[in-house]
Amino acid sequence: MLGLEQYREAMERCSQCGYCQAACPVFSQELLESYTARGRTLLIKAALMDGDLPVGKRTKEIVANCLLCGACAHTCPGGLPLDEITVAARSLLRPGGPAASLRRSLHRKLMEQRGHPGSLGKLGPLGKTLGLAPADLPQPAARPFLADQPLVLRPSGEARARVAWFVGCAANSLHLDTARAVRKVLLANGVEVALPEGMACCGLPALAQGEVDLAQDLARRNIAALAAQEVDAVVTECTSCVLMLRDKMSRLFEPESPEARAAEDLAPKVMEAGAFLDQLGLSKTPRGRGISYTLHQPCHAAGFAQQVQAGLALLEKVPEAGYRPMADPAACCGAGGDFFLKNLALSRGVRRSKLEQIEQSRAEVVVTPCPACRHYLGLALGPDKVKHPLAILAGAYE
Amino acid sequence: MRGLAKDLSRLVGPDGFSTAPEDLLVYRHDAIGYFAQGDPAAVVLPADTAQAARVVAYASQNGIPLTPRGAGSGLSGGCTPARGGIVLDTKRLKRILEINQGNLTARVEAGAVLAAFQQAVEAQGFFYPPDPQSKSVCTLGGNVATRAGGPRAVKYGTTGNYVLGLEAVLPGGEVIRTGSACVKHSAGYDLTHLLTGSEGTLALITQATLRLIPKPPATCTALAVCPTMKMAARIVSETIAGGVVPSMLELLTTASLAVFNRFVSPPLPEEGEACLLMEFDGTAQEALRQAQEMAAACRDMGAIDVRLAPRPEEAALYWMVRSRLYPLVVSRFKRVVTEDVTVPRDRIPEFVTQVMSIAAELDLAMGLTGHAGDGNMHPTIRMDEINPDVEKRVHQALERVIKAGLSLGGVISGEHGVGLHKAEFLELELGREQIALMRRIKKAFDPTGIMNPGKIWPPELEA
Ligand SMILES: Cc1cc2nc3c(=O)[nH]c(=O)nc-3n(C[C@H](O)[C@H](O)[C@H](O)COP(=O)(O)OP(=O)(O)OC[C@H]3O[C@@H](n4cnc5c(N)ncnc54)[C@H](O)[C@@H]3O)c2cc1C
Ligand code: SF4
Ligand code: SF4
Repeated sequence: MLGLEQYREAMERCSQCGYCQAACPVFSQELLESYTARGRTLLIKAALMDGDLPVGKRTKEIVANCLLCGACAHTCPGGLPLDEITVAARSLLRPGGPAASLRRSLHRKLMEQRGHPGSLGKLGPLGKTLGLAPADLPQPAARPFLADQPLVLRPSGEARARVAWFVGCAANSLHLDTARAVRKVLLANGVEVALPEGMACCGLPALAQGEVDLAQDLARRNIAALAAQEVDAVVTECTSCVLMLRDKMSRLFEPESPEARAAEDLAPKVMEAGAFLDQLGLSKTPRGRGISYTLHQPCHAAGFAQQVQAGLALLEKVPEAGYRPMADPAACCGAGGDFFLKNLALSRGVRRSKLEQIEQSRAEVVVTPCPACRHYLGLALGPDKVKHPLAILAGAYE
Repeated sequence: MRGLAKDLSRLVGPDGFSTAPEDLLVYRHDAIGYFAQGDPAAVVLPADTAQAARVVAYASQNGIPLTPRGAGSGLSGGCTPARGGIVLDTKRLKRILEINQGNLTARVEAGAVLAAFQQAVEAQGFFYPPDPQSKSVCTLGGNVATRAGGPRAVKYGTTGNYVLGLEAVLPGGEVIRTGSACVKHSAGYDLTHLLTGSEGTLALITQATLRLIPKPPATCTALAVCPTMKMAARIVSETIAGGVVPSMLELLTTASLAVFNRFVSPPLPEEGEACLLMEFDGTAQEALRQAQEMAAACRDMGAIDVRLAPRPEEAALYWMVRSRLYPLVVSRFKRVVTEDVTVPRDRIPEFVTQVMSIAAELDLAMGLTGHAGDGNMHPTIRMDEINPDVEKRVHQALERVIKAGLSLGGVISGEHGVGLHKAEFLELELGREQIALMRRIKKAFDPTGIMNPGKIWPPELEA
C-alpha cells in the first residue's frame, strides 16, 4: 500500500469483465458505472497516473465515493487489490491548507494517544466546536477503558491460554460495554490477557483518509507493542482491527522490509476474540437467559468470514438464544467507517435494504462485531438493539 | 455540450445523466478494453420507459448517435459508442414487474440483472434457464439484444427461446409492444425475434415477457479430466450422438484445473489437456444415474480422473470457478482475444483439430474452452506481448478459425453477437444479399441511422 505506481501492473490486469458491479454497495444505489471498481480504476489511471484527464472536483468525488468495504476485491476474478488502489489515490488527493493540516494533526493525536485518559474526552468536543469533527460522531467516554486496566488480567484459577488483547479504539472509548463483555468472557473461560503498553489505533481509519504515512507510524507502534508478547494469539473484538493487523499491515511496507516481515510474523496469530474462544472451547457454561439475535456480517470480514461464524457458534450455547438469520448477512450496512458522516443519502440508501432484512428476521437484537456497523445501525434501530456478539455471551454469565 | 446537458436535464432530471469525462471513461467500452473507439458525449440513465422514449426521440430529432447499454459485460464491443453521442444505460430500468405462476411467464424491465431475476423466479419454484456466465451482472435487455446463451443451452436453448414479447422504443420515440404473453402467437411478422439479437441497432428494448419452466428438482455435477483435447471433443460428440442430454456440458482447458485445485481435494491431475464439466438434472435418482453412466462412459474412453459432485454446495464451487475462468485468464495476460464460433456438434472433433493446427502454424498460445454441449466454442488467443507482428498473426488466426468454423457448417458467433468484433466477417457467413436485406430492415426501423451506428457490418457497407 504505497504509491499508486506500485499498482500499475495490477490495474493493467483488470479484465474489464464488470463483475465488480455485483458486489458494490455504492454502485447499487446510483447504478452509475463510474462508481464501480472498474470505472474508478480507469479514472485513477487516466487522471492521477497517466495525465489523460485533468484532476478536478469530479475525480475527487468519485475517489471519495467508496466505502472501502473490499467487496469488489473479493468478487474480482483476478483478485485485484481494488480497495488499496483507492487508498493510494486518496493519499495523492489529500487536501492541503491550514484547516486540513490542523485536522490531520488532531487525527494523529487521537489515533496515537487513544489510551490516555482524557485525550479523547478533551479532543472530541474541541473538534466538534471547531467544526473539525462532525456532530453525528458518537460522544466518547470520559475515561477510556484501558486507562483503568492493569497490564495483565489474570483469571481466577490456572490459565488455560494466554493472549494479547488488542483493544480497538471503539471498544476503548465509545463502546465500553463491549470491552467489559470481552474482558468478562475471556477471564471466565480461564484466559490470561495481556494488555500491552503502547497500542495505538490499528490504522485502518487513517488509510481510509489516504493517510498512508500515519497508518505506517501506527503500525510500527503496534508491531512494537505486540511482537514481543509471548502469547497463543492476538485477539481483538473489532473486525476492522482483525483486517488491518492480519491482512493489511504487512502490505503497508516495502516487501521484505523488516517492518513487513514483523507484520507477517504477527498476522497468523491475529483472531477475532469470539473465534479464539470458540477454538479454545468454553469452560464456563452460560446459564442466563439469552435473546433472539440476527447477525450482520461486516464487510471487512469478507476475507475471514469463518471467524465471524465461529464467534456466532458460541452463542448457540446460550440457553434460549435463537439465531434468526437475515436474507444476506454480508450485505453492507452503509456505514463504511465514517463514510456515512459525509455521504448521508448514499449511506442511508444502502442501510435501508439492510434494515428491511433485519425487520424480516424478527430478531430482538442485531449482533455484529464491527463498531461502525453497530453505531450506524444503532442510529436507526436504537442503541440497545445492536450489540457485539460476545455481549450476549457475557450477559448469560451474569 | 452545455446545450446537451441542459436538454438532458430537462428530459431526465439532473441526476439522470452525466456529461463529465470522469464518469464517461468507463462507458467507452464493454468487457473488452481494446474496443474503445469513440468518446460518448453523455451517459443517460432513464428511470422509466417514458423517460427513455423522450431521450430516444430527442436523439433522433437532433441526429445524435445513441448506443444502448446494459451492464457493459458484452464481449464484442456491442455497447461501445463507436460514433460518440449518447450511451443509454438501462440499469435503472430494473424492476421485475410480474411473475405469473398461472401462465408460467414473467415480465421484467430491460435493466434487471439476470441473477436477481433467476433468484426471484427460483424462489417461487420456477426456472429461467439461460445462463450466460456473466449472470451476476448482465442485464436481461443485454441478453435479449445479443441472444445470449450459456452452458444450459445444450438442453434448454438460449435467451431467444424464452422471449415471448417485448416493449421497445423505436428510434422516433414511439413505444411498441411486440408478441404477447401467449405461448402461441401467429399474427403478423415476428418482430419480437427480429429485435432479439439486434444488438441495439433497431430499437431500445425496455421490457421483456419471458417464458418460465418448472424447476427440475435435483442436479448432479460430474467432472472428467481427459489426457488430450481430442479425446474430450470425441466424448462430447459421442455423448450427444448417444442421446444423453446433460443440462450443462463444458469443455475446459488445463489452466482451469489449477484453478479448481484451489478449492477441491484431492487435487485433479493437472497434466490433463482438457476437462469436461457436466451437470445432469431431473429427480435426484435420475440426475445421479445419468451422471454415473456418463462417468463410466468417460472412464471407458480413457479419461484419467472422473468425479461426481452430487452435493449442491460442492457443485456450486465448480460452477462458480467456471463462471470466473475467462476474466481470470484475461488478468494473467497482456491481452486475450476470445472467439465464439459455433459448429454442429458432430463436427466438434474436426474443429478442435483445425484450431489446434492454426495455433501451431501461427505460433500463438490458444486455449479452447466452450459450451461444447451445444457446439459453441471459445478459441482464446493469449498474448504476452502486443506488437504489430503479433497483432497480424492474431488477425490471421481469427480469420482462419472463423473460416474453419464456417466450412464445417458453423456460424461466426454463437452468443456474443457481432458488434465491432465480427463486423468484417459477417458477410462471410451471410453473403451480400442477406446483408443487403438486413440493411433495408435497418433503414425501415431507423431511417436516420442513430441506433448503435458502426455495429454488425463494416462502415463501407453502411448505407
Ligand atoms: C466473464 C464473461 C463471461 C461471459 N459469458 C457469456 C456466456 O456464457 N454466454 C453469453 O452469451 N455471453 C457471455 N458473455 C457476454 C455478455 O455478458 C453477454 O453478451 C450479455 O448478454 C451482455 O449483457 P449486458 O447487459 O452486459 O449488455 P451490454 O454489454 O451492455 O450490451 C450488449 C449489446 O446489447 C445491446 N443492448 C443492451 N441492452 C439493450 C437494450 N435494452 N435494448 C437494445 N439493445 C441493448 C448493446 O447495445 C450491445 O450491442 C460473457 C461476458 C463476460 C465478461
Ligand atoms: S470497496 Fe466497496 S464501496 Fe468501494 S468500490 Fe469496492 S465494493 Fe464498492
Ligand atoms: S471484477 Fe476485477 S477484473 Fe473485472 S472489471 Fe472489476 S476490477 Fe476489473
